[in-house]
Amino acid sequence: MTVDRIASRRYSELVDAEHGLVSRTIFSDPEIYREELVQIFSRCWLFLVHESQIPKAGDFVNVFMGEESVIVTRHADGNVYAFLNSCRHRGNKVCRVDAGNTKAFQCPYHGWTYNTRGELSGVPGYAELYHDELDRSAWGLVGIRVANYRGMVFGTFDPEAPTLEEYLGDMRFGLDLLLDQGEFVAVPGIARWQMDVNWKFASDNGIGDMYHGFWSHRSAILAGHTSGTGSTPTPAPAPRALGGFTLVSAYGHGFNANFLEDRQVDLKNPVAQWRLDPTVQAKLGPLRGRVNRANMLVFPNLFVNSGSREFMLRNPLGPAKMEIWKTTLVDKNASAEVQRAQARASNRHFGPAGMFEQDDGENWDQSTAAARGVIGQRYDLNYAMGIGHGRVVTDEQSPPRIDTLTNEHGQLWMYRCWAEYMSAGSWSELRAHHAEPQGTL
Amino acid sequence: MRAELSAVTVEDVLLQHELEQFFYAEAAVLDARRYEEWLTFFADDLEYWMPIRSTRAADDEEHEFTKLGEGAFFDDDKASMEQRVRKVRTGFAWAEDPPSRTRHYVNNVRIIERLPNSELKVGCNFALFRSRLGNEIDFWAGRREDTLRRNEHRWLIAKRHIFLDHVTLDSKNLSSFF
Repeated sequence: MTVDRIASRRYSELVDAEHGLVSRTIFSDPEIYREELVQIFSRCWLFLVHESQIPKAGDFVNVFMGEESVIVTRHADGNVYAFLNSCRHRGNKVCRVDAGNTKAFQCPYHGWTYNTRGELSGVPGYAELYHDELDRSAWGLVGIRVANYRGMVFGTFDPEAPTLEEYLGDMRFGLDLLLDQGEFVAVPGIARWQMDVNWKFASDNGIGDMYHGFWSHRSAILAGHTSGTGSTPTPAPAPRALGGFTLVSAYGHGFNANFLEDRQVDLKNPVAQWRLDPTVQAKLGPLRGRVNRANMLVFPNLFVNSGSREFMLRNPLGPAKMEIWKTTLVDKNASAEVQRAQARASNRHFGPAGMFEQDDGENWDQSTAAARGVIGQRYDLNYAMGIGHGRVVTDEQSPPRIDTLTNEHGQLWMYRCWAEYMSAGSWSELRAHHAEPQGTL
Repeated sequence: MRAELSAVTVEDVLLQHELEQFFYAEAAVLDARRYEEWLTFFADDLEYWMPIRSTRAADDEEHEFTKLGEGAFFDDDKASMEQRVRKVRTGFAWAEDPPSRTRHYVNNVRIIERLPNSELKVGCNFALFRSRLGNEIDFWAGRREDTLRRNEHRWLIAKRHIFLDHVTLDSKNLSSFF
């Protein structure tokens, strides 16, 4: 295929997209990790919250963007704001709780006070000690650019970043697969847990690792777990070429979607009831209407599951450390009973105790540990499944897609885009030179 | 439970002993990985629940733990706990095969409330130590509220509510039982 390659030998050598090889050093090297914080996490649109988590004026959530602590608020004007959680005086956190409702954020050190738009509203001793000379308008909390895609609030540190719509691009076709199922609210409670894992192993699993399901999660399937989608998978002794499709898009996003075909759907199950709604089916169209669930990655680190309906954010905390934040959505207009069942399905499926997810932690931890050895690092990892067979289909059913489900096109795509970010000097360079899916992957 | 020493009856002492022995026996069964036997400690209408905790301001304590129906680490019933045990036994449960080594500690056992139908709400503190593979260590501490029911033979756990003393878990999973 034709790819505009950005001229950096270093990163394009670490990711050999032509042969499907990825160097283990990108999962362990501290310098590469520091560079990721600059080139990726300071630049991309990063998921912050679902807007239903801050419905009222004064509501706030304390989140992370990369390793930076960030406050997201709903101000009295009804708008959502985000800023660095760092007092401009000595840098202390002005917010040390996870969420709540407040009129102001007050630094515990000297008492500088900021309103929910981040403006410096109070300085103890302003007249007597600062002689009325401190320009309060210049010393507000550091503001962050915010945008909302259908209730999903994102932020970016980069003023040059494209609009969120442009950044998400064709990935919106995937996100809509979830967002078109209904109107959603996040249930209270963000599950948070840390593991000794490089964030990219979690992201590459999220973008489209259909291969791991039958094996990593085999114990849950054999035990009768129903995957949170209301459909029952058939325990398979070997991976099969199941029906579905793969979609990748510019700037590192992608998803895979498996079709319902050989699964039993229980339409009485609360998580499956949207399938009976003709308006939902009309919005989704024939291709997406057949989907059991999609595993999606909004680059760099947001995993979205359209079946059990979660936002899973994997925040980097070092080359071998990350923290997962799991937020669950339920149908806003459903009965309390249905909402309860939806939350329960997600609680049992994902999260550290989730029937599926507990085994992911074990495996990503092992992948990360294996990236450390100097001898092991001589041997690249194999991301070549399906390479040369991923014909990109362009028709009216969807943005460019590949009509196979189990492959490593998504993962390899993610690393190819990773190398683009790592090599590019600016967003204008990235926008001019980035890979688009075409030809055969 | 009465605080004054003089008010303690022999029946109170015997009941306290019985409850402690019940929890100790349960801990021993778990640490021995006799999970099928562990399931017999539960009533059929089991509610096994571990809410999510967050750091909140001192005046916002009511939101510290999620409520039933909201986000939770465990949100299980008897059937799903049976499923969890079946999972461990499949030979493909990577998080627990090779098995973790656990030690369950239970203390500060006290009756919180005597409920109708002779049920008891019993509180305790717990610590769970997990050692895994070579030197992976997890440690969880918290408080439990169990609703115990007596049938003709023994006590059964009808509800287990587990309140961890952690917000962000420093564990790659919660594949151990609490």
